[in-house]
Amino acid sequence: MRAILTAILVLLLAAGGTLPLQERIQGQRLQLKYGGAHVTRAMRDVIGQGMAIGLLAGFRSVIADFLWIRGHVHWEKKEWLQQYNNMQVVTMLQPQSILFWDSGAWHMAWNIGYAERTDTNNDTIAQGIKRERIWHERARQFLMRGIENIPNRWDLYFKLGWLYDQKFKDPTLAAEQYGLAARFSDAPTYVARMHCRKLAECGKLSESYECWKSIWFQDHGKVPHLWNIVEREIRHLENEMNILDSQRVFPQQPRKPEPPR
Amino acid sequence: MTDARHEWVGFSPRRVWMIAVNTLTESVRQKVYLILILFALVLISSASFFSQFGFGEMGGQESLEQLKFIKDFCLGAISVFGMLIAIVGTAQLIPNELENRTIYTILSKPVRRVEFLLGKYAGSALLMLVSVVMMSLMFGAALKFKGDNHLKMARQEVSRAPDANAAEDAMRQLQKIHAAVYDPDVVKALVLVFVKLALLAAITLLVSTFSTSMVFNVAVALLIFFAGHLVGPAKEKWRENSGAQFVLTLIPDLSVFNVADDMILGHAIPWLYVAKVAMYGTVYIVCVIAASHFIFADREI
Amino acid sequence: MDAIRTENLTKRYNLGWGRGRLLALDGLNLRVREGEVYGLLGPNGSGKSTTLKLILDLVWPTSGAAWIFDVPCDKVVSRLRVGFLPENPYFYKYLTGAETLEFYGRLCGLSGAALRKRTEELLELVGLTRARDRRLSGYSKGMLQRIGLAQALVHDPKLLLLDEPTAGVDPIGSKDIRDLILRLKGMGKTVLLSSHLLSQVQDVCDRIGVLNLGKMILEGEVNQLVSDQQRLSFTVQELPETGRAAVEAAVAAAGGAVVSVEHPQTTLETLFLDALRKDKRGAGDHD
Repeated sequence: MRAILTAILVLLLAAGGTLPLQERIQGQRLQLKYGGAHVTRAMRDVIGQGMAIGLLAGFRSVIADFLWIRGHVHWEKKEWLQQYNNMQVVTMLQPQSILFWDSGAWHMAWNIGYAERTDTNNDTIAQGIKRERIWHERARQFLMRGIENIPNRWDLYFKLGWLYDQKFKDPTLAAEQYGLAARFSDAPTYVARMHCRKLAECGKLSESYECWKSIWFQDHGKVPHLWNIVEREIRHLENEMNILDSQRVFPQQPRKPEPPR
Repeated sequence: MTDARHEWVGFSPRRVWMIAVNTLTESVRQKVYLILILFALVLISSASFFSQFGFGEMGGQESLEQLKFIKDFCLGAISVFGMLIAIVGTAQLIPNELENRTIYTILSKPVRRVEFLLGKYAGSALLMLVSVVMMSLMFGAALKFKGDNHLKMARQEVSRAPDANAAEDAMRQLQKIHAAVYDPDVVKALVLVFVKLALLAAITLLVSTFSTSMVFNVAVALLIFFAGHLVGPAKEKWRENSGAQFVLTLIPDLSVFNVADDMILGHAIPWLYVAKVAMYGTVYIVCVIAASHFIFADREI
Repeated sequence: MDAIRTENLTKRYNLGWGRGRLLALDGLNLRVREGEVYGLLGPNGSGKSTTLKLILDLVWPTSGAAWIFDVPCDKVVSRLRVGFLPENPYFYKYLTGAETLEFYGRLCGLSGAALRKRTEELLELVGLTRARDRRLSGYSKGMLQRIGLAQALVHDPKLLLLDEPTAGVDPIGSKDIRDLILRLKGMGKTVLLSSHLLSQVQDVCDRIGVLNLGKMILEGEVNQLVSDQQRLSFTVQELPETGRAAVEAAVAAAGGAVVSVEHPQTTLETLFLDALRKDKRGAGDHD
């Protein structure tokens, strides 16, 4: 009897003694955004009992992958809504996966949208376009949720901007998103260039000019921009805006050398 | 043989090691283990093949998808089979010794009960180490095989790029794929998997010190395995109930050992985190083994 | 010095909730002298195995104490000089005979050349040299008992405890084991064996003690106990029928009484062993 009590005491000690350590670990997990969303009953209803058990055992990612692959099956059978629901569940399971948000939105706006527009069951062209736009909007909402979950990476901002650019044909919103994406140091250099270009497209020439200038005055050795393109754009804008020669980055008249003191 | 053998009656780490090696040898030669490990290896190696069908061309986003699937699946397999080996392998240690009467032959020599218990556990831990290493090597080979294919495709994309922007994009994709294939953080994930398995084995050992039915041991250990994963969400749900909080603290939170998912998503895994979790696991293991010792030392055989 | 000494050794087992306690051993006072072979007999459940386990510190006494060569049994040191063969051993199925002995040898501090030498010696002693590289899962019952004896001897103990050493073993195997025990006695070892196979014990033991329901009910030298001091038996050869009447008359005249006249019988065991020995094809897996 005494042995069992001692054993229980030791276990209580383990549990209690590791409490501060546990808290610190949990804190770090939250900070690092580990783990996915919690397993809720709604989730269990959608994904079924078997997979719910898998979730409980900690195989969240494998199950998300499995569901994602199943989504491809829906895609092939043109079961758009099932695929859509599937993508919702998958991103619920792994909200930290850029891949799922990115691919999901792409499927919605580009693939499904196109398929809906060209569906032969459409009575009129207008109806097809309307159905496509519903999917564009869904993709937009999807990406915005993605950004809520992953606000500290450039990828989804860029994809949203691309969506605005290509599908919504809205250069202002596109420019805004490209700008948000360009803030991140690990974003590819073309993002910043696209931001500047879009600003010009919206008519915000002076902002665009400032944008290009801020690129130009970075360290050419460190940042791998396409400098000839940057130069070309700046020259073009300076001509467009008739900037005074003395204030240009690329003056047309060579500057007089300063007189020696 | 002289009587100057009194020196080998004190606690002897060497004896613990002997028993551990013996346990490992016995376990490894069992058919059940061989089948399990073979199945695991075949499954892991097959991962590189079944992701083949129909996900689009390689070199682009589809590459990243495929690599994610392979890594998730293989690490999941290592986790599952590791868990089976840990629980089933450990659950039968003491019952088998009792059935074969070997426990009598060992404890009737000048061997301490604690040496016996530690030796058994160490043998189990060795078994898991060997298993995890084998499965990890197979996983590495499968990933490299598939990954190199993807890298080749990605490099072709770079050279085929029509303009500078596309080239930069393709280059970036190549880098992402490279990072996905050759990710040093996978070692950290495997280390934590091993610590989790060691903890499960310790818990199974504890259960087996007071129950000789192998089925019972396995069932209880599995129960604690699932409970350990529920601790996190349960604590959230019953935040106000301090009684529940207390009970929940008693169960080790096993979800902290699962960093594979996050690693595959590209999150960094700081060494500090690994150290904290490893320490958490180790403290728990030491306490569980100590508890096992108290029960076992008091048990008449 | 007594090899084993117990004083008032008592063991009660708890049977669990509300089922009371089982008195397995009741105040046993046992002394096994150094160099003798002592047989602990009794029906199943009489306390024989319990006695052995108490001596080996595998179970703990409710009251009383036991000593091995004057060292208290609850000390780990006491087990330096004792080797144990448990009842119905299976050992580690996946080890070979040699590997098994090497494992136990290492456990007792042997290594290297000394270990290998000891392993070979013991395999030779118990007659398992030819089966040294076979896995124990392929051993017969008799072979398992013999390897069990070998592992009990690996650290050259002065005392051996054998629990039902011939149970389930065929007659040849039994004979081999009994011969081994006698050899060990010749080497100066003390043996305490427990058995319920009475005829086999008779040939081997110097002294016996009979346990029943935890108490010692009979103890003494085997020869004295089994021989009927009141009677004499002559074994006569080549006596014709007429001579028989004369002998009976002589006995009556001397004041004795002839109780029975019959042909002496050999034992079934001797018959069996002789028949097998004469069969030139050999006898199973005995080597």
